[in-house]
Amino acid sequence: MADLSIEEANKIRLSMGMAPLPVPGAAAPAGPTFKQAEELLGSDEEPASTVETRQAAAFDNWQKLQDEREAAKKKEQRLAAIKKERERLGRFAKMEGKGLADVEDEDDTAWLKGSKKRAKKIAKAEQMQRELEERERQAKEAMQYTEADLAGVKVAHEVDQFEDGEDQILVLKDTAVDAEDDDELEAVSLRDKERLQEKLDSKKRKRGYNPNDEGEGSLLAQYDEEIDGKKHKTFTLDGQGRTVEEVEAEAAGVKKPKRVAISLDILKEEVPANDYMDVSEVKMKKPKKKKKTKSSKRQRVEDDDEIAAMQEEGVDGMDVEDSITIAAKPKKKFNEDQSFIDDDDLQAQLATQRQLALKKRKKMRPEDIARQLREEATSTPQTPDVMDTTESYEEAAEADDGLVIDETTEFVHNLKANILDEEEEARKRQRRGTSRISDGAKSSTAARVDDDGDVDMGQSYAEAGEEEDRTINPPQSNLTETGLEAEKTTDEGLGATLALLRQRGVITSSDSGDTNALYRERQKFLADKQRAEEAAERLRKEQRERERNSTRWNNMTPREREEWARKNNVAADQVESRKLAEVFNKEYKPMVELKYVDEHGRHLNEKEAFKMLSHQFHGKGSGNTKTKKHLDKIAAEKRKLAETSLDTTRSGGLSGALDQQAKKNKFAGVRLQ
Amino acid sequence: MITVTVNDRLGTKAQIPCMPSDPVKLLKAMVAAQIGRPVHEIMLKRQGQRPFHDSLSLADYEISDGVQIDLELNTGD
Repeated sequence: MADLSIEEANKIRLSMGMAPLPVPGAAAPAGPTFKQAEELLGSDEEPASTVETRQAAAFDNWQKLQDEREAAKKKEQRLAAIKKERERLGRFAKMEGKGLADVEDEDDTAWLKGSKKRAKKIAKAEQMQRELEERERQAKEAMQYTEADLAGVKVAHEVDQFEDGEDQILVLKDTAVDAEDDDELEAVSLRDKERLQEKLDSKKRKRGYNPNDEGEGSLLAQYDEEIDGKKHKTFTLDGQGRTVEEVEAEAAGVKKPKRVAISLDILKEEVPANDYMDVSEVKMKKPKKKKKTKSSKRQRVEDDDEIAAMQEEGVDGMDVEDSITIAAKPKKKFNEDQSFIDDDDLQAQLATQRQLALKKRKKMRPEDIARQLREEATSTPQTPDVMDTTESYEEAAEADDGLVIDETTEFVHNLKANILDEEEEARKRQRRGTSRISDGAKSSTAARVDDDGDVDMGQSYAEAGEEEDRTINPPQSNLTETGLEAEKTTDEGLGATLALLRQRGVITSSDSGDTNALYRERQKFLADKQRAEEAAERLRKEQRERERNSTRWNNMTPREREEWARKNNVAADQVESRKLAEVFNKEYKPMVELKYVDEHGRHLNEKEAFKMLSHQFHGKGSGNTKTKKHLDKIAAEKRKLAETSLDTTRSGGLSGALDQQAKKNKFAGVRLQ
Repeated sequence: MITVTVNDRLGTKAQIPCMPSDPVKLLKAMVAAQIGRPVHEIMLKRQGQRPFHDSLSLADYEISDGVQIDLELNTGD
């Protein structure tokens, strides 16, 4: 399909009312075509607010830019031309001054003459320079504001507030413009500090009246500040590094407080610390020629106690003195400076102390050592006792150490149970043999003696010892392999039975002491009561005897006698009963214990008793299964009572407990102690 | 004056001379004259963009010389 030609396109455009496309053949306008700006300028729209106006303004802008470029170009050209012209002129200009080639024809005399003049000229120039500098300096000084200018200016602080080594910047104090006061200086930081202090003081509760205060200050001194206004402490500078007040005080003859001199040599370069001694500092001592002194000195070091003796002897007076001074010096030092300034000082002090202590300590001499050894030798007989005691301690410790039962020991124990009988028999047989031998030999010695009286040397010492032990104290049959105490049996009496029951935990004897004491008291009370009753009876009997022997009794009729006896009896009864009541009140302590026993003969605890009573009251017991369970429980309890606690073959007893413990602790054995 | 290429991807391709200030309506009219399809059935768009509105000019769509525009059938939806 052929492309749309411009003529056809123009036709369509014209039909739609649009401007025709420019025909290539027609003359194109120079440069880009733009809309006319003039026709849009009349509208009241803002410039460059729409595309149209912008497009319209575009031509102007473009034109302007073009003009500018043109102008810049022209200017550049002009400048280039000027430069070129100047260069051209410069190239042909004649050089002024002297060149190397045209030197003046001068001889040496002329140069010499000229040199003086030149020197004068230089000196003059230097003088001028100096004067200028001087003038400048003076001007600068005149400008400066020195401390002389500060004369008579007040400072609103106390002199003491300016601490040494602290820079303070003083500024002019704020005052009203029309105030008559002189200028006053103040330090901002100090002022802040003062304000803070004031605030803190105002927070403190002031005591108005102090009765213990003895007439110091005026009456109601706490209001002084409010009435008179605050006192500001000021001082005035006099421009010479001092204050006016100070000068005045000095003039008045007030003594200055003592000043403490502080060294300002902190900036002095310190000697670098070196661990090694400087060679230059080391001084070689010349060996002294006097041999005598040397030897005495050594002696002094060895034995300080002999100093006194030496002093008496006066062998070497000077040396003795020396030693004394050495001894005395440290003491003096002690008293003088108790406060240790430095760590080094402390170390030095400690060193001297140590030295003194070392001197004081007695030096051990060979004779002393020998004596000590002898003493030890004599005291050795005591040591075996000590050893004995330690041994006994060890034994006790071993005894306390308890027995460990684990699977291995259990296994061995079971094995031994089978062998036990044979072993026992063998042992019995042996014992019989030894006893026979000892009978024959008529001696208690353990060594086996032959018929000819020879001792069997094939035996080892251990065996011999063992045998001796055996003969002296024959082995007890009730020793068990476990090492635990065997259970008691009921055939040995009531005590053994009680012990057995206690072992098995049937009887608890926790409160036995208490109950025992109570029982005893009760028994004592009963006995006392009995005795008192008997005594009273006896007394009455005696009295009756006496009465019957009296004449009055003989004169009385039988009726009267009866009456008399009855009266007496009543009175005695009363007295007795009163006494008894007193004793009861004083001593009788009732012991109440409720015990419930069921049909099986068991003691019931509270809960079980309640259950039983409840059943009795309602006339209805537990059901079938519950009853059966209860009976089973009772049967189990009985069985448990019957079996030994050390029985390991069956479950239950000790082995059951062991198993349980082992399982709980996750160990193979249980430690008994 | 710019030349815009109109192309449906089915073998129809036409070069249209126009001005950047022309409305899309005029371009459509010229395309209709070229390919023989009524104006209301012509939809012009750039690839992957929305179709051109009739009232806007080519300059608004930033169509310059040598740009290719997709031609689609306007079903009136």
